[in-house]
Amino acid sequence: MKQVIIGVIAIVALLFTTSVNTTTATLSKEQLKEVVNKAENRLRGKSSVATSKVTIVRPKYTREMTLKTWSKGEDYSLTYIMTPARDQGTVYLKRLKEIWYYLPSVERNIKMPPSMMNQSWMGTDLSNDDLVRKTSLAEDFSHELLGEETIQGKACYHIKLIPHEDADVVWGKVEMWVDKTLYNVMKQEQFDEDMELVNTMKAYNVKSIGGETLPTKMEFIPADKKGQMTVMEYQSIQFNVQIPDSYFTTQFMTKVKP
Amino acid sequence: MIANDFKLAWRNIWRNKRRAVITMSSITVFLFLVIFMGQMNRWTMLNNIDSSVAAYAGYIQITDTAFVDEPIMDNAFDQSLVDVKELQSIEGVKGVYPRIVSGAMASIGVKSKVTGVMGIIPDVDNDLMKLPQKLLSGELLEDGDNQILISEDMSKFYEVSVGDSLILFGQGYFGVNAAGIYRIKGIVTMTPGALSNMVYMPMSACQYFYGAEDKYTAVLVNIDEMADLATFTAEVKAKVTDSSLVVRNWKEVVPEMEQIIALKEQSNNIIAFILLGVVAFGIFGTVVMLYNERLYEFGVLNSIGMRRSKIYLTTMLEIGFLSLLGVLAGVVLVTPLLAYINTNPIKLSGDMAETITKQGFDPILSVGLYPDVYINSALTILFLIFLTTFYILFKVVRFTPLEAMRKK
Repeated sequence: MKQVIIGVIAIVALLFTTSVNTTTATLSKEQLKEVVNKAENRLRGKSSVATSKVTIVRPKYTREMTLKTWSKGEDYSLTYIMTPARDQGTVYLKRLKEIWYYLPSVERNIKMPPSMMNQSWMGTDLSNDDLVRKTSLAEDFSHELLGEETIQGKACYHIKLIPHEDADVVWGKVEMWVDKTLYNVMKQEQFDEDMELVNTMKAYNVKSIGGETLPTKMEFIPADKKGQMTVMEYQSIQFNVQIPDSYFTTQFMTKVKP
Repeated sequence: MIANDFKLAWRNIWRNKRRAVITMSSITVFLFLVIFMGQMNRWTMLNNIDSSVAAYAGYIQITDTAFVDEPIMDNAFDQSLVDVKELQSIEGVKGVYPRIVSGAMASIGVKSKVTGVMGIIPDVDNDLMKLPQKLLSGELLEDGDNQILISEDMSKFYEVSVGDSLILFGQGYFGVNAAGIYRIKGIVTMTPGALSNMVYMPMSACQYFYGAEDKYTAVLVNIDEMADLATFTAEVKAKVTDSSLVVRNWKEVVPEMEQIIALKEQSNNIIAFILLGVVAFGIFGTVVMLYNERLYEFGVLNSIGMRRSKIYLTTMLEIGFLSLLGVLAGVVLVTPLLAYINTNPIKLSGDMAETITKQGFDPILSVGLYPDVYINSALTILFLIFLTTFYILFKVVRFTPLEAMRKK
C-alpha cells in the first residue's frame, strides 16, 4: 500500500522525458521495469502541502475526516486532523520508519510502539506499517506484462509483480495497472503467499491539480471484509513548497496550525 | 373406631413425657439444621448469580448479533433500536440498564495497565451496583460528568486518590482514537473480578470517549432473581424487533458462570446429603428406642387380643403426631434466626473471605426466607421418618408376646 501512496500521493515529481512505445503490448524486461519505476517515482522526492478528505466506509457506518498533510520526500510527513471536532488537533508525524502522534485530549506525544504498527491507522483500511514500509516495486520485484486494459478511460499496462526471494516483501504477488502515458497507478491488487487477494486500490478522477495530472480519488478495499473500504480524495495539493525541517519534529507537533 | 386410635396415640405420647420431648426435640433440631442449611445455600446461590451476573452481564442481555462472537466496540448498536421505557414497562422487570463496555489502557506516570471501561447511567446503576454503599472516598458520578469512578484495587495499583487524573487511551468505534484525561471523582470497593478492573464513566462521556455517540454495546434487563428466566427472555424477545439485535439470558452469555454456580451448588448438595444422612440415623435411633421401650407393652396388648395391625397403626399415629409437633417447633424456632441473619448478613473476614473473593463473589454470608425451602425440608424430614418406621413394621409383624414380655 505504501508504494501506492508514494507513487500517487508523495511529494516530488520527476517529469518523465522517456516515452514509452504505446503501440505494442510486448515490452522488454528493461522497459517494463522502467514503467514500474516511473509509476513508483511519479511524485517521489517532491515536497507538498495537501488537504484531503478520508472517508471510512463500514457496513453500518461511515466516518469522514479531513486532513492537512505536509510532506517532504518519502521519509517525512506531518498530518494534522482538521475534522471531526473530537479528533481535531491530532497530529501524526512520520520520520523515516517511526510514527509519532500527538493527542490534544491527553496533551501527549506518543511514539507508535512496534506492537501497534500492524493496527489500522485512524480506523482506516491502511495499517500504520503501510505508511512507513519501504519496498521498491521496481527493484524488489520481477515484472511480467499481462496485457493492456482500459481503466477509468485510461489505457493501462497490466503488470504482474513477483517479489524476489530475498526481498523484504509481505506480498506473494502484486498486480498493477499503470497509465501508459502519465504513469499513474490506476489500480493495484495485492495478494498473499497463497495468491489470495488481500486488498485493492482503485484510482479515479484524474485531473490537473497543483500542476500535476493525478488521480484525485482513491479507494482502498480490503478483500476479506465485505462492505468495507477507505476513500481518499484530494481537495487541494501544492507541490514544491518550501517546508522547514523543523516541521518534522516532535516539538512542532504540539504547535501545528492548519 | 379411628377416633379411638387417635385418642390412644395422643395419650400414649404424654404417658412418657421425657421420651416424647426427646423424640420431638430431635426432629426439631434436625429440621432446624436442614432448613437453615437450605436457606443458606439458596441465598448463596441466588446472591452469587445476582452479584456476578446482574451488574455485568445482566439476567437478560440485548446486543448486536455480531457482538455475540466478537464483543468489541465496533459491534455496538444504535440506541434508538431498543426502547428502554417499553422494556421497563414489562411487569416483573426490575431494571433496564444500557451499557457501553470496552477496554482501554489506563496510565499515570510510568504505570499503565489495560482496564475495562464501562459507561453507566448513574440514576439507575447506582442502585444496581450498590455504589452508594461501595463508595470509599469521593463522590458518585452524575449524568453529564466528565469524570470517572475507579475501584479500590485500581487506586492501589496506580497509587492515586480522589482528585488525581488517569489517562485513558484506546481504540474507539471503528478505529477512532479514544483518548482523554479523566479526573477521579470517587473510589469504590468492588468484588475482585471483571468489575474491579474497571473504570466507570457516565454514559454520555463514555460514548464521546469511544466516538460512539448514541451507541450502546448492550442493554441489560434485570428481573427478580426467583423469576422464571425463560419466560422473561421470551417477553423481552417479543419487544426487541430489530433483526440486527439478539436477546440472550445470562446462562447463554456467561455459561462459565453457570458452571461455577452449579459446581458450588453441587458441593452444597453433598454437604446437605451428609447432613440428611446424620439426621436419618438420628431419627432411626429415636424410633428404635421408642419401639424397644414399648416392647413389653406391645406383648401385653397382643396377648390380650389387640391385633398387630392396630398396634402398628397407633404407633404410627403416635410418631406422626410427634413428627408434626417437631416440625412445627422447628419452623417456629428457625424463623426468627433466619429473619435476623437475613437482615444482618455476616461479613466474613480472613482466609475464608479471601477464598470467596478470589472466586469472584462477595464475602458475605446470609440466609433467605424462601417458603419452598421450608416445605421441601419439612417434607424431606417427614419422608425420612416414614422410611425409619419400616423398622417398627417389621418388628411388630414378627415379635412374639412371650419374648416381648420376658423381663430382661
